[in-house]
Amino acid sequence: MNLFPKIQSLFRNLLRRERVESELDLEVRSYAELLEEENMSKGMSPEEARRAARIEMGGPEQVKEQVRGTRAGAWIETVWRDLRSGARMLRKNPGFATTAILTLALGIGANTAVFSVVRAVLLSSLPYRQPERLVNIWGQLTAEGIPKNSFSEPEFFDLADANHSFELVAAYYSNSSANLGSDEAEPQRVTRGLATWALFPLLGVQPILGHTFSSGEDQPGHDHVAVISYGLWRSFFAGDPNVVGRTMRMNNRPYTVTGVLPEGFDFAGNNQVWIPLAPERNPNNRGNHSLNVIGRLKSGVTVAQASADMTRFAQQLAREYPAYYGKSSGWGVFVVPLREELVSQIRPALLILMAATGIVLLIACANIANLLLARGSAREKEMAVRASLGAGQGRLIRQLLTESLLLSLTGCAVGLAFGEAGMMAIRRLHAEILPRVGKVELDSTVLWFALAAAVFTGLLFGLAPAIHFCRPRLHEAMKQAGREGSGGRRGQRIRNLLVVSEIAFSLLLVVGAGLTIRSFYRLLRVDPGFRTDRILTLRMTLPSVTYPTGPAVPQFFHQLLSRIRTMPGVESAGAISQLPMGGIRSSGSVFVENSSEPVLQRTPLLPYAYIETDQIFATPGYFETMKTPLVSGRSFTDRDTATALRVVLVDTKFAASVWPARNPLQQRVCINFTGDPKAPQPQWATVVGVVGHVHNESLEVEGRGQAYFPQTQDPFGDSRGMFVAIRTAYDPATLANSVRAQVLSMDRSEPVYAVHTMDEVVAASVEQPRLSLDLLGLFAGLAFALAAIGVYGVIAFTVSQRKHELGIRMALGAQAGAIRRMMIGQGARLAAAGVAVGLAGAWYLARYMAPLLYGVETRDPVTFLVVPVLLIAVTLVASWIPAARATRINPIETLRHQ
Amino acid sequence: MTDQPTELLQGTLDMLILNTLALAPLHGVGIARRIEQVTRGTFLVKAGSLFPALHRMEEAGWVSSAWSETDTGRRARFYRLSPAGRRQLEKETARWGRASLAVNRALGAES
Repeated sequence: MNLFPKIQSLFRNLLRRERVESELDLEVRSYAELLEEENMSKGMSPEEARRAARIEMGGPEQVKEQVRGTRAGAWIETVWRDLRSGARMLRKNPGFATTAILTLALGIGANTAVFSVVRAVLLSSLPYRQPERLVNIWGQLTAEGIPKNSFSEPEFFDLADANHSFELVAAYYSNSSANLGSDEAEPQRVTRGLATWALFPLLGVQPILGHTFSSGEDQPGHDHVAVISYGLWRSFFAGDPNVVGRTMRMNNRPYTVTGVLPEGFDFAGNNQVWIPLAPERNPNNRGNHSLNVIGRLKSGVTVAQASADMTRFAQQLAREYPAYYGKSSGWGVFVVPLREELVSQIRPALLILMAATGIVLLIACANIANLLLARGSAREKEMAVRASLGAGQGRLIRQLLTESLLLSLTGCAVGLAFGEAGMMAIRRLHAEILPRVGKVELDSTVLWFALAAAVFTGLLFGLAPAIHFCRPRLHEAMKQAGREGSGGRRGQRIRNLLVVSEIAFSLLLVVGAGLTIRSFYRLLRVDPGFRTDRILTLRMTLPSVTYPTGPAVPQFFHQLLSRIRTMPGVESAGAISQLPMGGIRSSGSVFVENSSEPVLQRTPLLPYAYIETDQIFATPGYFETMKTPLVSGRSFTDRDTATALRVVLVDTKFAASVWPARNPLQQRVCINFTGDPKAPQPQWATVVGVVGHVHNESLEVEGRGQAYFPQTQDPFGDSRGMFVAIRTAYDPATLANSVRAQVLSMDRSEPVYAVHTMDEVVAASVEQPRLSLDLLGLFAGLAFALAAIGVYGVIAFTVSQRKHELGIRMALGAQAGAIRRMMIGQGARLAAAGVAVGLAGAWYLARYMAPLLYGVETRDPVTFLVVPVLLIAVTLVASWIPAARATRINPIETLRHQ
Repeated sequence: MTDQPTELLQGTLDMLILNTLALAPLHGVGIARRIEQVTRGTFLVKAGSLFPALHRMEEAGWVSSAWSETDTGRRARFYRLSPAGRRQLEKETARWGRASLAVNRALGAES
């Protein structure tokens, strides 16, 4: 078929519409005249001739309409006309249009924002080569309460030698940081990862400059090379293209830059520098677990096969080293796909939020459908007129759907703006807890999602009214034209059904939010073992080159703390090697002299039983600053020097588990042995005080027992990195700069970092529950408001519909109270039905909330009681307003009006 | 049944119009009357079907139209068959021949 004339006509029809129309008009008129002429020539009178012609031809408008229907591009014109008429309708009802568009915009915006997070975090593939073949490998000692354990160096080498499943395995860890030296600027702290050479080839990452580590570079002694991130290359080296081979000073040691990683490379935290991990094959390190291990599966090997291989590997190790992996230890090795590793924590929260936003959108749809139905009385008349002028039923449905789509697409446009704002907020506020949060953006996939949501909702809320109003009931509608249309019983049923489902859905969300609120409240009420108000914390790490292990490190901190204590506004100050909830956790074995409690473990290597505890170094003043209660004995003082009697403080949990029936004071423990390794001599420390237990990991996790040693008596030099805590008389944040200045006045080359108030530190530790709480609360509030508006709308509509009837009732003597009860009764019935359905749903679905809850049952009776009562109360208020209006109907006026 | 004028199927109407125009250009009423004549009143062409068909075929490039005067001196829009229309007519005629033969055969076999 020849397309050219068609296209030509299309343009003519669209661009020169008036000309085409007037031609058509002339043609139809000339046709009628010709018929008339013909009839007259048959001998009819002019009157008769015109009549006969009219009968033969039919209505000229209908004929024209049929021609228009066949024209090229007719559908474009139809859509355009529908759009314009739709826009006109919306302009004429700005209140309705604004309500509907804003409702939709909120719904679509929330969905878009949450979907963009879900996509970035859960759906998009990891930015590594064949990421589905990457797995993390973990050990476990389930009987010792360690479900997931890092590898020790000897275990890593055994794994590399003995596995049959992996192309490559690499060990890494990344919670290390270093002082980056520079002569010009204030020293800065960089985040640093350590990895064996295989990590980068294993991930399939190509450096943009230079090369990553070679297999020779992860040997001890050859490891002073560094691979740097794109960001550090741009900022610290000013994007120098010849950076490879340049030297950088980290912790006052020189490192040669060998390569620059591509922009956006992100693995195991946003490390700015990677240096080789050079494990030693020291067999005595077998019990020292610190390495994360990642493996790339050989092609064709499944995760299940790799798991079986790891079980075999674990058994082999247990046979070779029975002293380490005892039969009752629950020793095992397992694999976790990398994606699972990254998202399993956050997944339940995100899925629940996605469901919540979906429900909000459904409720919004129900509300708008209700508004559309309620507007129906006016529309019904209009539809009847249109139908009698020749519009087909399909045509009318199409027009109504076009209007709905116009609404939903406008809502979508506004919603995208809301969504973008939401995404910005999420990127800014929750960067810490969402893996790959940088990928949260408004890209084409998210746009398509929003568009699909808009079309779907447009059809959803448009279809019911469209079908409802376009059934040909012209006669009836025309007859009612003078009066307020009734909307019919069927219309009322649909409206009621919509409101009941709105209430049910919003109940689901409010129960979810209620559970989260209760859980969060429980969490905040947890006593962490210290006070968080008016405390400033900061961190410093002294490099071993300038501060060799020995008295230099504690001396520096002693001097620093003395200076800080004299500053105005400072009440007290102290330092500690691991701040509660500060992200650093070091644990160790504490050997106990006189105890044989079953919590203690034994090793074949030493004659003492031990317990795994948080092993912490602190200075005098720390416990006073944090207001951690001293239960008995004394705290650290300046007299606890390196040469004085070795002392230790234990927490109540440690004391209760190790010496349940004895006074812990004057008991002895040790963490270090000296002398000949064959006959090790314990370095005993005497318990001089008992302090309250502290939640070191988070509010949720109670954590292990704790043993505190004076920093001056640290046998390992582990306490060169310390958190300084300062109790202030007023807002702690204002003190940050002057403290920083104090530090610089003592040593210009040491950076101060991680400066936070203690309130911030604790808030950060509850960020994920906070995110769930904020968003779920927001969505539940939205749903709740929408449902209340829905109830209000339906009752208000009923009142206006039944004005006539209510007028008669009142004329016949009905009391205002009775009328009000009648109307509120309708609201109450809707609320009861909605709440019943919603409760059943919530009862069933609550179990999916379990991963988000702390200290609250999923079927928490308080929530399941309060929420329905609240919901019913609000719906009653929502129906009381229009019901009260009903009682103010003036019977005389209403009756006269009819 | 044969007494009552029958409405035409769309494709058939197109073919009849093209066939009518093959002899000479005609205006709307002329086309309608001509079809009534040649089918001996079997088919009655209404304006509601004729106009859309003519406009559609014009857009397809099978006919062209222009204002002109009738014998009685009235202005009317005359439709003329284009070369593309002629080809279309031949195609339609051939197809119709095959189709009616097949239908007749089927009906004959039935009776």
